[in-house]
Amino acid sequence: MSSGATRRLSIVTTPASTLLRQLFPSWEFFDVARLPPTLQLRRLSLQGGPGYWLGAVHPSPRRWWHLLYNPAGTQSLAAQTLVERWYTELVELEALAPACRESLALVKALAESALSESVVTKVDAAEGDDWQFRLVIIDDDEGTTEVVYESDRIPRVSAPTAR
Amino acid sequence: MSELPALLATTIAWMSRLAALAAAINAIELLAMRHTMADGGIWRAPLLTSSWGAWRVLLGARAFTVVLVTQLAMAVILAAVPGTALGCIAAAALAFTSWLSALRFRGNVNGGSDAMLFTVLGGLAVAQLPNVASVVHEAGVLYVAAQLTLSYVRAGIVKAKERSWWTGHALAAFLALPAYGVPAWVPRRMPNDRIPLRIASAGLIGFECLAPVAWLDPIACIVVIAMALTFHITTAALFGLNRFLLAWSAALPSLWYAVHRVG
Repeated sequence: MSSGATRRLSIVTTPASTLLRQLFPSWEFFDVARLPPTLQLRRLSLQGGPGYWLGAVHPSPRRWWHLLYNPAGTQSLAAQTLVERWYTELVELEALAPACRESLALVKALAESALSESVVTKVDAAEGDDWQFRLVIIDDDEGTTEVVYESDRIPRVSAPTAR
Repeated sequence: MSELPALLATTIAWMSRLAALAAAINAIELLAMRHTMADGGIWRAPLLTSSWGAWRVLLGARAFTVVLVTQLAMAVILAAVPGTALGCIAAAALAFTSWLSALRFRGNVNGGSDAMLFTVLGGLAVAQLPNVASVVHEAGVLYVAAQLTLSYVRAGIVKAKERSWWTGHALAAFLALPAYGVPAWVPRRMPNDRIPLRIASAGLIGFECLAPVAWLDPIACIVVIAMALTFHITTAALFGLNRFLLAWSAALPSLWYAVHRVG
């Protein structure tokens, strides 16, 4: 399932292509009948086993004023767009394609941001542990999880302290 | 026919005020998200500059803050003096900053809402051009009405082609998607049988596919506008799509002009 934001984005973005998409939008929203890709991350404890996989994109609770003003929601949707675009590129392009590599760097930054915001600290582990992230398709009806991409072990020290 | 010039001016004024509100809120939201564009943030400049081309001078962290503040100022001008040459300049400037924001986020910030607001602002720039025939102003407004109608029809047709929309499965899946932050009580109260979801899905497809009737009759136009507002308010409340509500609201007055001009 896709919001349509990721459709036909499998090209390297340029100022001209951005303008063309604004001038000639596809208007195809919520069209593709496929399950949405989910970005997950987990801690890899140096002493114990790995932590639980947790979602990296977490929207904040909805308030009435979010009908008009919702920066946290806009950020979550933009982050999910990154994830969906990366998935589309992984499916349609080679992993080493420039657009795909650019998306990977952005998604890694998204995972690092979630890590620095302590998304995964509620599970276990201490500072200094490694971590990793993965892209999955979860089918609740079938009870299956398809792993599309799984990163190598990443040293915790590489996680930035944005915010 | 004699009432059309006044209706055109009123339509442009309302579209300008609503588009200014949308552009201002977009700018304030991005200012609130500045940390995500700073060093160490998700959309940090070094990861994106390759797609910016010569515009990178306006898209670095500090320069882009200036762009967003300028966007706020232009929104105030557009709301204050719609239908004037200054309003035309403000609308064109806002279309430009809207495009810059999309480029800053590698193509789009929030999907189709960026494109709709760009369409409205571009149409408003044309609709306020000084020293041109009124047919040019009409063309600006009718272009927005045409794109607005197309947006519903296109979205409706692609949904109608998907069996999962008719079974209610697609709507259920969207309601359960964590990234949209659907309030927790919605999935909890979702019925086990899919009949209500099927009805809601079929209603949405019907509304979107039948949107062109708004051009034919004023009563039908009012019904379509009311249904559109209900739809966008609902998606803003459930899925957090506030930018869609703002952008499409700015476009909806163009339909009212279209039905009087064409119908």
